[in-house]
Amino acid sequence: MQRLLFLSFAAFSLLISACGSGSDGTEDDGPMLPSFDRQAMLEGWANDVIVPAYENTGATTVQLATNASDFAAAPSEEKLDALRSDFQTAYRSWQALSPFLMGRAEEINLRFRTNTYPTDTDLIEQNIAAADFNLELPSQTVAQGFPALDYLLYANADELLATSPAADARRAYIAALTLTLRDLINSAKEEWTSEFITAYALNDGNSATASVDRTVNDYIFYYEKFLRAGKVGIPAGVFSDTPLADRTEALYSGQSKALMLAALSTTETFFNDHGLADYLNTLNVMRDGELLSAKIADQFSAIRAKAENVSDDFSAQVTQDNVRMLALYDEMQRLVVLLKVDMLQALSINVDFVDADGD
Amino acid sequence: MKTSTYLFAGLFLLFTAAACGDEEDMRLNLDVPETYSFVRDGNSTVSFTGQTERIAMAEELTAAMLDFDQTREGLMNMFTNAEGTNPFASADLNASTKSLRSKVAASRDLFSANSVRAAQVKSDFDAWIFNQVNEVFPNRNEIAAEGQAGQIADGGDVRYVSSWGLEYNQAFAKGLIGALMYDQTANNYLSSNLLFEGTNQADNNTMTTVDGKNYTTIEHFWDEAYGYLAGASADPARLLADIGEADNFLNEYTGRVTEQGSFTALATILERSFRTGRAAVVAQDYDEVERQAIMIRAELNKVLAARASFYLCEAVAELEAMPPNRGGAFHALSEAYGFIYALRFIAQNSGNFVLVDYEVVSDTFLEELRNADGFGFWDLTPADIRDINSSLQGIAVEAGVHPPNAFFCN
Repeated sequence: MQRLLFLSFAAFSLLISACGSGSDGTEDDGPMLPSFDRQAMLEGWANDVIVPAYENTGATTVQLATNASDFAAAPSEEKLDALRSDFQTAYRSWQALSPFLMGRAEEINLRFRTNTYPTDTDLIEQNIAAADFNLELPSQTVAQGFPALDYLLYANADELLATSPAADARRAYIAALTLTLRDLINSAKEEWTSEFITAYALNDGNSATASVDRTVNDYIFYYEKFLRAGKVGIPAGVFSDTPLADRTEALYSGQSKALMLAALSTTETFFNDHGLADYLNTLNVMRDGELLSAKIADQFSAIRAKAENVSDDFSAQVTQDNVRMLALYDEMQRLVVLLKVDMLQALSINVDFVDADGD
Repeated sequence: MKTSTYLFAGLFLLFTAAACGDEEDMRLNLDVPETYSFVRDGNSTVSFTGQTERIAMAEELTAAMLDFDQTREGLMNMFTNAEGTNPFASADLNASTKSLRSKVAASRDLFSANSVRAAQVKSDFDAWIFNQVNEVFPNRNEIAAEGQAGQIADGGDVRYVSSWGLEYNQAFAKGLIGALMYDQTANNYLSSNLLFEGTNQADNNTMTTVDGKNYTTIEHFWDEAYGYLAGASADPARLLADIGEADNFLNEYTGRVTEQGSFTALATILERSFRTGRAAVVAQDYDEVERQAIMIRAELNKVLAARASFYLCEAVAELEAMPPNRGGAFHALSEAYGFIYALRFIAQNSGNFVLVDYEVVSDTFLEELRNADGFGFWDLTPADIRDINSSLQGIAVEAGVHPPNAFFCN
């Protein structure tokens, strides 16, 4: 009902702006309705955003798995350095894919199996000691994926180069985690690129289940929950009494800011360069006398500017000077309103997610 | 005889709009304080430590049902607070003379002359503990499937379910809201049979207090009813300040219901009735005491029915998500199962207009949810759950538990 209202309102405002420009030109032209090719936008999202993100994350995790197995077979310091570098590359490439998990990725719970943090170091050590674990179990999501590798590759790293059954088990566990990660991501990639993509681009309507609505909802949900809250708000203590330094992403390698900036860049580019800004401009959506798309682009820049004030390692930042971290969070919160209220209203997309029940 | 009193009282409520003037006049005689604090000779007369302790015990026990190092014996000791076993982490609870199980299905109105039914209810709770330890614990590292107990993912959360999809710990916790918190409040401490028994009124009239205490028997009973709602509140005199946050039982879900459609005023009404009724006890206005007790019951009935319906709706939404979130649906169905179980404690003449045997209602819907001909929750469709929900709502509306315009999913 509300959606219908928005829709007719949008159509009505189109008419007004179209009539205005029509009266300036020759009358024979008739009113020109600005048209926006939603299907072309979807094809762009699929071919220029999601497929490359899958290919890149797929390739980097293949390399990670290959080198982890190699390291397990014949460990050396050089190989460990290379492995760490592979790990950082793969972890950053994941940040480009993470907002767009649809289809198989959702069915296999890819987000949680790939990047649930804080990781459970006790459970990891228990798995290694027992040499018996089932990574398919939901209770094991906290002992696998990038955060578990971050712990294993950067905390107690001397144990990785030792010669002992315990060190062998440790290296074997790393290899097992990377293989699982590789297989999960590539399974989701397979399904997306072979089957899902055609149906995705064709589903260009504007119902709640149509691709534009779903993708934009997923995008905003990702921004709000995993980028704004997960990477910044939770460590800064926005949702608790005190800052939680141990809740940062990449806690052990201290790369939290690099990952956050990669994620921010994904969401920024997706808005500016892949259709949403154009879509809003075509509808001539204004806020406070300014194009909404420009306000959103400016807000991304404002966030980036605030991010310059915080150190590379968020866990150190929230311990030493949390005010800067809170300032970054506040800037990120402002964008939520622009995206979730102003943009969705203009595009007549309903929010399809709510805060969970919580128990 | 009692029925007609209740019916009359119900009709009275129905016409409160018309009778408004009279009611206001009666209330004028009452000195109702702004908060739930009542004092005589400078000392508070309010006390409900037993309720506070039981809520704390219930918190520890329901959390322990997911501690895989626990044993059936350990959990049962927490349930019964068996002497000498010190089952709780809290020394105060171990030292307490109170226990949960002794107050499960133990109200004056429903169970004092029906120990058979009481024993059945207690054995349901015993069985949930037994099954959790004997069915779910050994399968904790299995992936749940039809006929297979184990884990199921609910987004980033892990749910541990029975072979047919039920989380026994959820059935236990939500069932306890009915069997302990609701039953003790609605059918025991607010029962006229208990409140006005023996010399209670005469003692209250002469302000004869219980030996060694600062309160009369009626005052204390009323406070004990209030304690099942406010026993864990940061400031029990101000129930509304943290309603929904103070515990994981009646307080939490009373708070939650106020976020649900047509129930926004529910907690406010409930709090005011507790305060007004308590003031009426002090003023020896026993008609007013009964009236407020009926209003409290009516609001608490809504909490149980509205939450049962809410979780059925949530289960439908989870199953219809793309892709379906089965773990989320099972979690919602498990909570619904507990709340539907809790409905059986709504007395037939609980301030409603139509007599409904809620034990039969509860059993009927639980059986449909158990879906024993299939694989329990595993092959319940959204349509099946919608059917259960709409039947449940129909009965609740007909019985007067729900206002007909209440918010429901469809």
